Amino acid sequence: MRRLTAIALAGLFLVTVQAQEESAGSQSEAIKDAERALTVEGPSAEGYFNLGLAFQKNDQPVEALLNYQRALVLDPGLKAARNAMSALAAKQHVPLPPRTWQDDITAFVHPEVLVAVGSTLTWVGMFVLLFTMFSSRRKSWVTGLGVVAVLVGSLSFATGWVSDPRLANGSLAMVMAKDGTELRTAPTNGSSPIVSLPAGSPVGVLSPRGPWTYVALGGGAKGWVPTDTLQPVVPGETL
Amino acid sequence: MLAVPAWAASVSARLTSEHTSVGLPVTLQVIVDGTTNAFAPRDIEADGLRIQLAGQSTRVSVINGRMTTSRVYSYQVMPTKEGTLEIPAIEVTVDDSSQKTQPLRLEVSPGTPPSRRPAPAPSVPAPPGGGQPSQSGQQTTPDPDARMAFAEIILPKDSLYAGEIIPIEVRFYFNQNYSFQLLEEEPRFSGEGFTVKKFTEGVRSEQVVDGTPYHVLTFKSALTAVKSGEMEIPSITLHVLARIPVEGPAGFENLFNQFFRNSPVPGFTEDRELAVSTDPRTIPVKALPKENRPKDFGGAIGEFSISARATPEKTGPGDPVTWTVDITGRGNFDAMAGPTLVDDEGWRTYPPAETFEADDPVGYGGTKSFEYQIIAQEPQTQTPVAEFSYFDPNTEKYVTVKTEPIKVEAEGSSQPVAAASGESGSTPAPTASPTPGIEHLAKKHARSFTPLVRKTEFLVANGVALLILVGVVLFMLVRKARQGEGARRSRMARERNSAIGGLRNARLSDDEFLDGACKAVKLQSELAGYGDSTSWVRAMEPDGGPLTDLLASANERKFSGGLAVRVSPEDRSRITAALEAARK
Repeated sequence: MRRLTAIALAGLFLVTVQAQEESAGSQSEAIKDAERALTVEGPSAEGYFNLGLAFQKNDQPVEALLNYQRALVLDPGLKAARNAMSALAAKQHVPLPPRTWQDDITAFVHPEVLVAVGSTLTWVGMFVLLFTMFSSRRKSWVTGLGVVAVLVGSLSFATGWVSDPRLANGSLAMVMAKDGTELRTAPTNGSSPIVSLPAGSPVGVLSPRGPWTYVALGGGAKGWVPTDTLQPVVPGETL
Repeated sequence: MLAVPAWAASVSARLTSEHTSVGLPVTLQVIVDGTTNAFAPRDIEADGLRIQLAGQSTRVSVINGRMTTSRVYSYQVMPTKEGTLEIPAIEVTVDDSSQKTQPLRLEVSPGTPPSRRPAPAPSVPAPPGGGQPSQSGQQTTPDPDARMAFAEIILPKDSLYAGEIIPIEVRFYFNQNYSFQLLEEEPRFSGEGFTVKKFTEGVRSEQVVDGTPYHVLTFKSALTAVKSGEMEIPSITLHVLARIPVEGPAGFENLFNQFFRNSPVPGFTEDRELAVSTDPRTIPVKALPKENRPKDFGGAIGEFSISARATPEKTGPGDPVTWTVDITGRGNFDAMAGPTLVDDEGWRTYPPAETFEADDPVGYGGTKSFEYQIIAQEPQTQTPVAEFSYFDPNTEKYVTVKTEPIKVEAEGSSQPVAAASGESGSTPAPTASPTPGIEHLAKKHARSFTPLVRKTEFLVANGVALLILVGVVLFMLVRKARQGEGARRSRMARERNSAIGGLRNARLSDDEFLDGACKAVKLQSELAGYGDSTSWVRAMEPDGGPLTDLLASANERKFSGGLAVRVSPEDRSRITAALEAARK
């Protein structure tokens, strides 16, 4: 009887282990699928969101945060990525920069659209103004239209520029060291720490200097972190 | 009035109190009588004392019609050790000569100093020793031992957990016997180990502390410890400008005090910046217990309740149900992860959109809502259940709460859909989900990490537009210039024709004829591209002719002092004919 019970328990254990392995294998497969899709179809915000989701399901929160951040760099208005990153960051106690007015704008329109529309409108306005300048039959409403087009176009262009994380935030990186790192006042291990940065914390790279990199946090604090703890958000970039 | 000679200047020193305790400053005054042309050192070295110049003033006294001036240097003397300490003689340069003060002694005790009127200090770091604020409402007399300003921090508890948020109140007390002006709108907090939310706007009130009436400015905020251990809450500081009474002129002050009972002499005050700070305070910060920690615990600490609502109650195939989970209570909403979904089989769910509505100014209490879009994959009669775990610091236990399932009628959809959570207005599109269990988003736009403004296409397009713009500007400028030249030539041709036409008038005098003909020649030569009339006429008539004669007649009239030149009718005809021929 004991023997039968032992066999049954062993069988149950094997089934459980097998199920866990299958689940882990399924999640690993999901990561590979998402990576393959990015390679084949090219970069997209949705692709990086899918990859982040796959990492999150595979219990790799830091890699998930990195890919959510990549998705948001490509499309700051991708609410799914923003929500997923916000929830995961809260769970991992990762401080995220506060929401800004640029986030409110990009929630409605992609910054590239603002840049493209803005530059087109500016050029159209300039040509209209040029026409009225040299035309023998000047009409004030046409001139006004040109001025408005130039002003609105320039404003749209500038808004798109400052709202685009690829332009406004400079070079973004993320703390990838498993145990996080310390933001320090000077590029030495002996310098006093300013704040602890858990793994997955996004930082703005201001100046890489060999083994140490000068970075800025979303809240405005600046300091030094070891370069080898960081990974650039933009794939292929180096620090 | 008599001027005081330089050699009459004298230097003396005095302490506002000869007794104090370690860490409690007194004021040292170096007084130069008889001149204002004096220079005193900024820092003075003394064993056990830190002596720094805090300010200087000029004093004018008029006694029996004789005016004397004095220069007073005020030093802050901070004792750093106990005992009888000596302040050395201080060398002061007075009118190019050096004079020294007498050395002074200061008794420094380790404990509370004897009762005395405190000297105005640039920084007032601590509340009155042992003095508890009493409620205002009764008139009191000024206490000479009262402090000018102090601050205190009110914490609701003596210990807290790492990550826990607690409301705090910071009170700044300002003695009503002094005048203050705020230099900043809210206090400053800087230090490691704690984070503080933005302070609320200061609320003013009045309070009597140890018999002294104070204006009280109260700020509220919420404080969170970021790590465990014996943590020190750093000072919270507010900078103010204090108007401090200083001694009036000798003699005048005595006279004034006879009438006004030791009140400050009006008009003799000094503005000084004060940093009013709370005392740093050590508080034990405990780590969250690992025992009985739920697997879905996401860092929420506080007291919370959970509820849910769903709309619409009935949906067609593929239509999403908006299912909102509200977490209400008091705690660290900023660091809170969303609830865990259970019993969600047959539902496709997406990451929720989060909103927070605070019910107090610092965001300590409120409701955080997680709005899920859920789509039934098979016919469903009730929503999933949301489970939320938090740590209750009062009972020091983990608590798990969950919502009740809500009845809905949702028809199942065999079509997988991919709707980005919270993207209202977007139509769910078919997904290319390759892996079961992963809510993939379908690719909408190919994006590049290179921003548009750095892409070659954008730069080329804008470069082309710029080139076109410059080209058009140049073209228009040239065209306008040409149009101007053409118009000028047309005008000249019209004038020439008019001049030639006028020559046919037989009633013209000889002078008028000559003028008209010369004008026609000049215009014609310019139209023909010649710089002057003579060159054109020579080119037209190399062997002479009527136009050559015309110019000769014009010169003759010009250089003969205005004598009349006769032009015969035949000559007129020949000249006119020649001009008409040249015009053609």
